[in-house]
Amino acid sequence: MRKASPGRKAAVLAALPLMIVAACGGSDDGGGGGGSEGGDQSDAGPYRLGLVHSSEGPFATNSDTMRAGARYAVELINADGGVNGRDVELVEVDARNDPQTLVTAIPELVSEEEVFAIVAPVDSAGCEIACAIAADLQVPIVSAGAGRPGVLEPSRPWSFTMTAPDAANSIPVLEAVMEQEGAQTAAIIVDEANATTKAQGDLYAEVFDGSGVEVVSTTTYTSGDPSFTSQVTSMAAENPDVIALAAGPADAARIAVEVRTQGLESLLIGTGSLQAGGTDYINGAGEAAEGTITAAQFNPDNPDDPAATLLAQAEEDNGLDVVALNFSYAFDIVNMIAEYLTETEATASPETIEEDRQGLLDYLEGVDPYEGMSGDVRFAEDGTGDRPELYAVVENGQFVISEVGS
Amino acid sequence: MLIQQLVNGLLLGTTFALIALSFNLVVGALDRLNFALGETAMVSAICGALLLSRLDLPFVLAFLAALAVGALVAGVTFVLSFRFVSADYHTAPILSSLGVGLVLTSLVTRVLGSDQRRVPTVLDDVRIEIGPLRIVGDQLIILVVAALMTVLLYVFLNRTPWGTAIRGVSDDPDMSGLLGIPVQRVILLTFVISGMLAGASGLLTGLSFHTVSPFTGFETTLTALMVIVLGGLGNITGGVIAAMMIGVIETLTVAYLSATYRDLIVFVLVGITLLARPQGLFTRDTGVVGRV
Amino acid sequence: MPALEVSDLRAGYGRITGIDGINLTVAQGELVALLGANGAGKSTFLRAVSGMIRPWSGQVLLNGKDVTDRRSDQLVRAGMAHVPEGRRILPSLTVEENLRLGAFARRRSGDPDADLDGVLTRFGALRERSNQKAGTLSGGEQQMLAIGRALMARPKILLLDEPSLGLSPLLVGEVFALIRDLASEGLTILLVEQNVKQGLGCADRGYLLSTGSVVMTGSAQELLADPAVIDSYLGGRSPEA
Ligand SMILES: Nc1ncnc2c1ncn2[C@@H]1O[C@H](COP(=O)(O)OP(=O)(O)OP(=O)(O)O)[C@@H](O)[C@H]1O
Ligand SMILES: [Mg+2]
Repeated sequence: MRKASPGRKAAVLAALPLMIVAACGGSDDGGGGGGSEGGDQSDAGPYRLGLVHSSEGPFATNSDTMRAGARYAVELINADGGVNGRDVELVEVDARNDPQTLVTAIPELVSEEEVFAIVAPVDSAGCEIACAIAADLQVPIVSAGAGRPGVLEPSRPWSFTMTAPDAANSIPVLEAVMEQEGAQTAAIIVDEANATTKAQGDLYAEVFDGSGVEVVSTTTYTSGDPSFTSQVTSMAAENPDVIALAAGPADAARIAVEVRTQGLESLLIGTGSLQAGGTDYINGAGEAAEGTITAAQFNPDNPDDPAATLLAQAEEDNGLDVVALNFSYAFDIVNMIAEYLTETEATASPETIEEDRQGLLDYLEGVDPYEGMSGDVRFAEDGTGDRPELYAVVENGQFVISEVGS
Repeated sequence: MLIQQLVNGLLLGTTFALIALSFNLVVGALDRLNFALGETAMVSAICGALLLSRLDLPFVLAFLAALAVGALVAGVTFVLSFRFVSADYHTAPILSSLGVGLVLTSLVTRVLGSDQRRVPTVLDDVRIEIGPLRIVGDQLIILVVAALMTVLLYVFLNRTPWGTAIRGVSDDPDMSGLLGIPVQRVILLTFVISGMLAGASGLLTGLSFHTVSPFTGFETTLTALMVIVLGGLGNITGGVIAAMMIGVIETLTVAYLSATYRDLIVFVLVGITLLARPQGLFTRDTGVVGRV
Repeated sequence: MPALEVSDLRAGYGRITGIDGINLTVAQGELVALLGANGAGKSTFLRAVSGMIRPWSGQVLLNGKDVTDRRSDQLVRAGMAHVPEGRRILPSLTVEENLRLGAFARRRSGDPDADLDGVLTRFGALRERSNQKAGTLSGGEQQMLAIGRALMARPKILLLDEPSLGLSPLLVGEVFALIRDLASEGLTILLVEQNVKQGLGCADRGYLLSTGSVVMTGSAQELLADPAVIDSYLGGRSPEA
C-alpha cells in the first residue's frame, strides 16, 4: 500500500482535469430535457454503475458472491423495465487483489466509463484504497462487506459500507452469549499477520473483560501457518470453557478441527466476520464446526417482509441453499441507488452528474430505513451499516440465526 | 506440556523429513535440486484430499493415489526440466523446475479452484495417552507411514539391484553407464521415487494440518531447503535429524514465544549454519555452494 | 570377423580434438596394446569406443555390428566392458555391491551369484573385504575390483585403460600376469599403456598413438625392435645394439 500511494496521487491528478472539463461543460446547460417526459428517459442510454471485484486473494469467494448479488439486482431491475425507462448497466473491474490495479481502475471507471456510483471491493483493504480514490473524484462508493474499524475514515463522506464494524456489532452480542452460556474461562487464538484478525483479538479481550470471563491462554499464529497442533496443545493445558477464534474463516476451520481432534470440548466462538465467511468455515471444519457461536448481523432466514420474499426469490432464481451476506448487501446497494434515481428522476447525464452524485450521498445518509433483502438498512454517522444484533449457531452444517435475548 | 510440545514438534518434523528425503534423493542422483517438488507434494495432496472428501475413498487408496500422482508429476518434471537440459548450465534446471512449479500451481487453481481442501480425519476415535502425553489417531498414522516409507526406501536403496544402481549413479554416473546401468532410466526412477515421497509428505502434512491449499507449494520447497541446508545437501541421515530439529524449534517457538518469531528463528539458524558450516551440520565433504 | 573394428574415428571435448581419424582392429581372442605418451589420445579413443563420449565421425563395429553412437550400457549388453582410467570404483558402495552392479545388465540371465563367487576366488583379497565400502580399499585392491567388476558382465572384449598406473612394481607384475591369464582364457583385450615395454611384453600386436593419430602399428616383436620406438619409448637403447 505504501508503494501504491504516489501512483494513486498521480492517477487522481491525471483524472482531475477530465472531471473539471466535464463539470464546466455541464454548468451552462442547466435545463436538461430528462425530466420533461415524466420519468421516461429511454433515449439517454443506460445508467452505468461501477463494480470492483477481485478474482484473487483471500476474499475472492466473498467477492464472487458480492458480484452475483449485484448482477442479480441489475437483472431484476432491467427485467422490470429499468429505472426511468433506462437500463442499469454494471461496469465490472477485476482488481485481482492488487492495490495498483485499483489506483488506475477507479479513475478509469469515473472518467472513461462515466459511472454514476461505484460498488466497492468487499474486502477492507481493497475498499479503503478504492474509497479514497473515489472520494477524491467525488463519486459515491458503497461496499458490501468492508468491516474493519476506520476503513472509511479517509474517504468520508463519499463512502459507505453496509457492514457494521465487527466491534460495534460483535461486542454486545458476544457479551450476551457469554452470559447466556455461563462461561468462566476463555482462550484466544490470534492471527498476528493480519490487521483485521488482530483487531478481533482485542475485541475478544474486551468482551471477556466486560463479561467477567478469565482469559487463561492467548496463542498466536500467522495466516497460512501450517500447523495448529502446538497452539491447541497450549490451550488444552488450560482446558478453557470458550475458545475465541481471531482468524480468517479457512484458518478458523483448521483450528476447529485441531481442537476437536485433541479432544477439547470448549465452546468455539467467532465474530460476525466468521459468520460472513461462513461457508469456508463450515466446509473446512465439517463436523468440528458444530455448535460454534458467532455474532451476526445478517439473517438469511429473516421472517419479516420484504426481506423474506426477496430472500426466497433470490434462493429460487439463483439456485442457492442460503443467501450469503455479501450477496444480499450488494443486492441492496444496487436497489438503493435505483430507488434514489427513480424517486428523484435524476438523469446522471454529464450536465447533472455532480449534483446527482451529491443527491445520492444525501439520500444514503438519510435512509431510515431502506427495507431490503438484508432487512432494515441504515447507516451510522461514520457511513458504516447500522445492523441488528444477532448471533448464529452452527447446526447441521448451517448457521442458524437468533436474536440476542430470545 | 513441554513433553507434549516436543512430541508435536517431532511429529511435525517427520513430515519435513519426508520432503527433505525427496529433495536429497534427487540431489544424490543428479547433483541438482528439483524446485518443483514442493508443488508436486501440493498437487498430490490435493488429489488425495479430493478422493478422501468427495469420493469417501479409504485412506489407504487415497494415499496410494497421492503416491501415484507424485510419481507421475516428478517423472514429467524430469523430462521437461532435466533430461534434455545441458549439464553445462547449472542454473538451467533450477529455473526450468521453478517454472514447472509455477505451472503446476496455476493449473491446479485453474482446474480445481483456489480453495483450501479439507482432509477429513482418518482415525477419529483413537487417542493414546501415556502419562501426560497424548497422541491422536492421525498423528499415529503420520508416524507409522513416515517410518514405513523411510524403512522401505532404505531397504530398496540397499537391498535391490535398482536401488543399488541409484546409489551407483549418484556416486559416478559415467562409470555406472560403463557397468551396464541405464543411467537415464535410473535417474528417472530416482525422480519417480522422490515424487512418491513428496506425494506422501504432501498428504500426510494435509492430514496433520486438516487442509491442503494450492498455494503452499513453494513454501514446502523453502522448508525442505532449510532442512537440507541444515542437514547437509544430499546427506539423508542429516536431513532427517535436521527435519526433526526444525519441527521441534518451530513448535516450541510458537508455544512459548510467538508465531511471528517462528520463521525468523529458523531463518537465523539456517543463516548461521550457512556462514559457519556451509557443508551443513552433519556433513564433512562438499559444501552447499559447490554442489548446487 | 574381427572382435572390434574401428575406422576413421574422430572425437574430442568441445573444440579440443582428442583423436583425429583412428583405424584399429582387434581380432577375436587377440591382445592388442595401444601405446602413446601423455595426452596422445589413448583414453579418448577408449571413451569414444565405449560410448562415454560421442564420436564426431567414423565407425565402430563390434563383432561386425555397427555400434557407433550406442550408449555405454547398451555396449555392455553387446559384450564390451571398459575399465576406465583411474579405476573409478563406486566408493560409497560395498565391494560386493560394486561387483554385483557389474552384472546389472544380465542380473536375470545367467548366474550372477556363481560369477561373483568366481571373481572373489580369482581375487582372494576382495573376498575378505566384500562387505567393506569400496572407498576404503588400497590402490591395488581397487584395480582388482575394477577389473573383477568388469568381468562380472561376462564381456567378449575388455578395454583396459592403464591398469598398472600408480601401483607398486610388485603389483604391476601381478596386474600384467592377470592380463596374460585373461588373454590365455580366450578373452579379447585392448590394453592402453604408457609403459610400452610391459604393454608390448604381453601383447600380440600394438598401435602407437601420437597427438590423436596412429603413427605406427605392427606385431609386438616388430614394434619392440623398431629403432624409432626404442628411441622414443624404451630409453633410446636398441636391444640388438
Ligand atoms: N575431459 C577433457 N576435457 C578436455 N580435454 C580433454 C579431456 N580429457 C582429455 N583431454 C585432452 O584430450 C587430449 C587427449 O587426452 P587423453 O586423455 O585421451 O590422452 P591419453 O593418451 O589418455 O593421456 P594419458 O596417458 O595422460 O592418460 C589431450 O590433449 C587432453 O588434454
Ligand atoms: Mg589416458
